[in-house]
Amino acid sequence: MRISALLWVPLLACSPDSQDEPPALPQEAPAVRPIHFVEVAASVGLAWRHDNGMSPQRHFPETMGGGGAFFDYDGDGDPDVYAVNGGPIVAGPASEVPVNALFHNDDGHFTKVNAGLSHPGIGMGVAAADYDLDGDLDLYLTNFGPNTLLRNDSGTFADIGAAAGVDDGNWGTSCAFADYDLDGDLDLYVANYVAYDPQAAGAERIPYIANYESHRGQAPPSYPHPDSFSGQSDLLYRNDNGEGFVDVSAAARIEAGGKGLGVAFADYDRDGWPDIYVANDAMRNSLYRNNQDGTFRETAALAGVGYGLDGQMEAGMGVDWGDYDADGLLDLTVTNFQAEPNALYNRDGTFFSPATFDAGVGLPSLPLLAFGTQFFDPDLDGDLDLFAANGHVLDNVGLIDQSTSYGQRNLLLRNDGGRFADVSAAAGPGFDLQRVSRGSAVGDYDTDGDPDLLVFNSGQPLSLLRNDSGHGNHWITVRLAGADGNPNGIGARVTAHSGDLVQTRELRGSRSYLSQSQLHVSLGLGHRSQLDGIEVRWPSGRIERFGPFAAGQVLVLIEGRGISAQPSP
Amino acid sequence: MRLPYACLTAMCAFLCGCAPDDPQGVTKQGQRLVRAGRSLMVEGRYDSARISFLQALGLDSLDAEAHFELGNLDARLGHLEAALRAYRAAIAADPAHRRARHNLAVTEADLGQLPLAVELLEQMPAYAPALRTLPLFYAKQGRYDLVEKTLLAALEAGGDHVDVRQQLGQLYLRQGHYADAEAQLECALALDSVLVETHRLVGLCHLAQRRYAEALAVFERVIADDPLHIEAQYNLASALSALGRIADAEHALARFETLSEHAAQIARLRRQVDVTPAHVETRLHLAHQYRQLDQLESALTHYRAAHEADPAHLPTLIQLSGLLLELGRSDEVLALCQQGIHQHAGDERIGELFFARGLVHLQRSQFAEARADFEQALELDPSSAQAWNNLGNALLALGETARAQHALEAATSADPTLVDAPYNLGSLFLQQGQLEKARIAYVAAITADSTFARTYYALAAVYEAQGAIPQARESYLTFIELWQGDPGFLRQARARLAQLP
Repeated sequence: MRISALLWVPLLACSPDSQDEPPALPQEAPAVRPIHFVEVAASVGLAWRHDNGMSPQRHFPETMGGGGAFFDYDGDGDPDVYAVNGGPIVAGPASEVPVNALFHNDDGHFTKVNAGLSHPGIGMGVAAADYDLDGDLDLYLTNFGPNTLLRNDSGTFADIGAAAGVDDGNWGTSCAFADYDLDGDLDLYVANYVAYDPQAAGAERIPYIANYESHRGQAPPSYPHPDSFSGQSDLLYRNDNGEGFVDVSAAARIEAGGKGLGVAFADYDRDGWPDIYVANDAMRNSLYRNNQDGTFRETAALAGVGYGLDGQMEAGMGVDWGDYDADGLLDLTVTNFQAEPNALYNRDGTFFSPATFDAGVGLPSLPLLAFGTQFFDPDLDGDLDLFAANGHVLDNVGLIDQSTSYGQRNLLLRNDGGRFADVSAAAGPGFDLQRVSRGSAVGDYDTDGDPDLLVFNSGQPLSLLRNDSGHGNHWITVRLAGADGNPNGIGARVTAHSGDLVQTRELRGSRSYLSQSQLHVSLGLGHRSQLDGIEVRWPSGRIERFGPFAAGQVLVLIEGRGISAQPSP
Repeated sequence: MRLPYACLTAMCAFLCGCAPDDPQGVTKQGQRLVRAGRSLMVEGRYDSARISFLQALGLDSLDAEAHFELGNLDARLGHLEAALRAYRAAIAADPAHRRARHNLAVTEADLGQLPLAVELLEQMPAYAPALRTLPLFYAKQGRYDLVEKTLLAALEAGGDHVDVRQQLGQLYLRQGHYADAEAQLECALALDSVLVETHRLVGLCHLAQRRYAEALAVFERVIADDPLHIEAQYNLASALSALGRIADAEHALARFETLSEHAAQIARLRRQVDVTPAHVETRLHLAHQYRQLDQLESALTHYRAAHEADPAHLPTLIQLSGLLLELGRSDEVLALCQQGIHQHAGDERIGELFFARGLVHLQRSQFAEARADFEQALELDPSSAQAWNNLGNALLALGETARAQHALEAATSADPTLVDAPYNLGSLFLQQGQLEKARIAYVAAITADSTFARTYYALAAVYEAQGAIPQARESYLTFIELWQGDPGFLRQARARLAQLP
C-alpha cells in the first residue's frame, strides 16, 4: 500500500513562503495525478491474436467480434482471462478452425490452459456466473451460430448448451446473467443481432457510407450496413433451478425483431427488481422495466434512453450503468458510431436527461467509433471515469472517408465533479495504441488494488492495459457472496461511505460489449484511509451493513454470515 | 427527356460556329443561357437546365459560371463525380471563382474527402461562406477549438449571420456553456425570428438545464410552426416525460416515431440509391417518403431522376405529375400527362393522368376539356370519388346541373368520407333554392369532416333562410371557431351573426 499522502505535511512545513505567515494546514486531497496505462499482454503471457476470418466477400460477422472475460475459473482469487475467437464464416476444407482460449492467472502471469474451453465457432461474446450453484463460475458463449453453455466442473468445462436448452442458433451477441424473477437462481438474457446468410451471394446490400458507390472500382467490397437485414429477437431464459433453462421471452414480453448488440442488467428504478437495457443497432434501444411478475414493460423512449439527443436512431453497441454524478441513482452510457456521440443519460427522477454533451462525453467521442465501454475508477479517487474501446467496422474506410481510420485510439474520460475530460493523450502508452477494438473488460489482474483493462481487438492481438497510475489513493475491493441461488451477489447494490464520499455501485459482470468484467466491486477512496461503512442490498432483498474497514484490502461479504477479509498483496 | 447526343453536338457546333464575330454578344447570350438554366433548375426542370448550361458552354467553353452551374445541377442530382469535374473546370476557367471552390469543397466532403475539403476552404480565409461551412467540417474532425475560432472569424468577415449565430449557439450548448449558447441564439432570433431550428435550440438549452416547463413551451411553438419537425417532436416528448405527463409524452412519441420511420426509410433508401442510382423503384420510394415529410423539392428531385432513368415509366409519370400539380407547375403536368396517355393507351392506370390533366383544365376554367378528361378517368376507374366530384364541378360550371348533381351524388356514394362532394352538392341545391336538400347535403359534409369550416357557414345560411335561427346561430359560431382563413370572411360571419334576430 502506498503512503505518499503522508509526505505532504513535512514538505509544506519547509516551504520558505510560509515563514511570515501561519503555517498552512496540510491539504487533505493530493493533487490530481495523471492516469497511466501500459500495454503488457505479451509480456505477461497473453500473446493471443483474434482471428476475425476476414474474407474477400466481407461477411458481416467478421467485423463485429469479439469479446472476452476476466473471470476466476479456478476460484483462486485472481481473475483469469477468456478470449473469444472468430474464424472463417465459410470455412475451406483445409482451414484450421480457430478456437477460444483460456489463460490461467498465476500471480499476474498468464499461461494458456486447456480446460475444455477451446470452443470452436464463430465466437462473439461471453458471460460468466455460477448458474448451477456448485461454487464455480460457468460460461455462456454466444456465436454466429449455436450458442453454448460451458459448465465448470472444478476447473474443467463441459459443453451442455443443447442439454440446457440454450443453444439458440441465431447470431448471438452480448449476454448477461441476473436473477430477474428473484427466485434465487440466475437467469440469462441473450441479445441477438441480424439474420445474416453468408450463402446469399449477390444480395443487394446497403453500404455503410453514402456515396460509397462513387468509389466503385477503386475500393474492394465492404461490410454491409445492418439495415440490409432484419433483426433477430432477443431471448430471456429462466433458470429452472440449475437443471436447465426455459425460454420465457414471449411470456416476459421481450420485443421481437431487435438488433441487439449490448446488454446490461440494473435495478435503475430501485424497486429491488433487475431491469434490462439493450442497445440495438440503428434502431430504438430497449429499456425493459421489470413488472415484478415475470414480465417487463419496454419503456426506453418514454424514459429518454431510446434515442439520441434529437431522437436519432443511433448505432448502439456497448452499454454500462454507473452513478457517475454520485447522486445515488444509476446513470447510463451507450457507445455509438462515428459522427454519433457516445450517449450519457443522467437519471433524473423518473426520467433520464441527456447529459452527453454538457457532461463532456459527446465531443471527444464524435470522431470515433466505439464498442466496449465501462464506468470504472482507475485513479481510485472515488468517482467513476469512463472508458470506450474504439475501432471502425470498415477495414477499407480510409479509401472512402479520410476523416477516420480502421484502427482507432481508445478513449479515457476522467470524471471531475460529474463532468468528463478527455485524458487519453496523457494516459500512457496504453492509450497510444490504434487498434480495431471491440469488447472490453475491467479487472484487477495483478491484484494491486487498481482496475486494469482487457481490450479485445478484431483480427489483432488482445490488449492488456495495466494500470500504473501510481496515484497514491486508497482503495478497497469488495467481493459479494450471496446466499442461496446467487453466490456471486450479481445484482447486489452497494452503498459505501468514506468520510464525505458516498459511492453507489451495483455488481454486474456483464456490461460493455460482448464481455464480462471481474465480479467484484472496486472502490476508490481517494485520500481517505478508511471505509466507514458499507451497506449491501442483496438480490434477495436483505439489507446488511458492514464496517468500518481500513483501506487497502479485499473484503468478502457473505450474505447473512458476515465478512471474510483477505490480506492485501 | 434527353436529346440525342448527336443532336446536342450539332447544336453546339452550330452555336460555336456563330460565336467568334461578336464576342460581347456571345458573352451576353451565354449569360442569358446561364440565367435561363438557373430558372429552370428552380422549377426542377433539370434536363432543360442542363441543355441551357451546355449551350452556354458551346458558346464559350471557358464560361466559368456555366461550369459552376452545371456542377450545382449534378450535385443536386447526386452525380457527385460529375459535379467535381464541373467545379474544377470552373476553377480552371476562373481561378478566382470562390463559389466554385466552396462548392467543390462541399462535394469533396460529401465524398468523404474531408481533409481535402478543409484544405480548400482554408484557402479562402476572407470568404464568409467558406468560414460558415468550415466549422461544420472541423466539428466532424473533432477540432472543436477551431470551430469557435472560425465562426467568430465568419462574423468578422461577413457580418452578423443567422447561420453563424446558430452554429455558435449549438457549439456552446454542446459544451455546456448555456448562458453563452442562449446569448448567441438570441442574436440569431434577432436576425430571423421565425427560424424554427433556432427556437428548438433554445428549447434544448432549457431542457439541458432541466427547465422543463420552459422547454415544453418552446417545443410546442416549434411544432405549431412546423408540425413535421421530427427532432422537435422527440424533444417535446422528452419535456413531457420529464414533467411526468406520461400520456401526452406517449402521444408525442407516437407522432415522433411515425415521422422518424419516414426519415429512417429515407436514410436507407438514399444508401440504396447510392448503390443503384438508376433504379426507378428506389427513387420513387424515396420521393414518396420525402412527400410524407412535406419535403417536396427533395421529392421532386428524385421523381425527376426516376423520369430521367426511364422516361416512359408510367408510375413515375403519374407520381411526378401529381407532385407538379401540387406545386402549381401546370404546363409540365399537361406535357407529362399527354406523354403518358399517348405512350400507355390501353393501360387503365392512365386514368390518373386523365384526372391530373382534368384538374389543370379545371384550374384554367377550361371546363369542357376538364369534363372530357374526368369522364375518361371514370371510364377507367368508376370508383374514383375525386373524379366524380370534379366532374360535378366541371358540369356545374358548364350549367349541366342535373348531370352535376348525379356526379356529386356518385362521389358521395363512392366515398362517404370525402367532404368536397356533399359540400358541392349542398351548394348546388342552395343555388336551386332547394333548402332542405341543401341542408341534408351540408349535414352529410359535416359527418364526413366536422372540421371543414366552410360547411358551417353555408349551413348557417340555409338555417337562416329556413328561419331556424338557433341552429343558424350555432352554425355561425362553429364557423367562427374553426375558420383560419381570410379575416374578411370571419368579419362577414360575425356581422351575419349579429344580425340574427
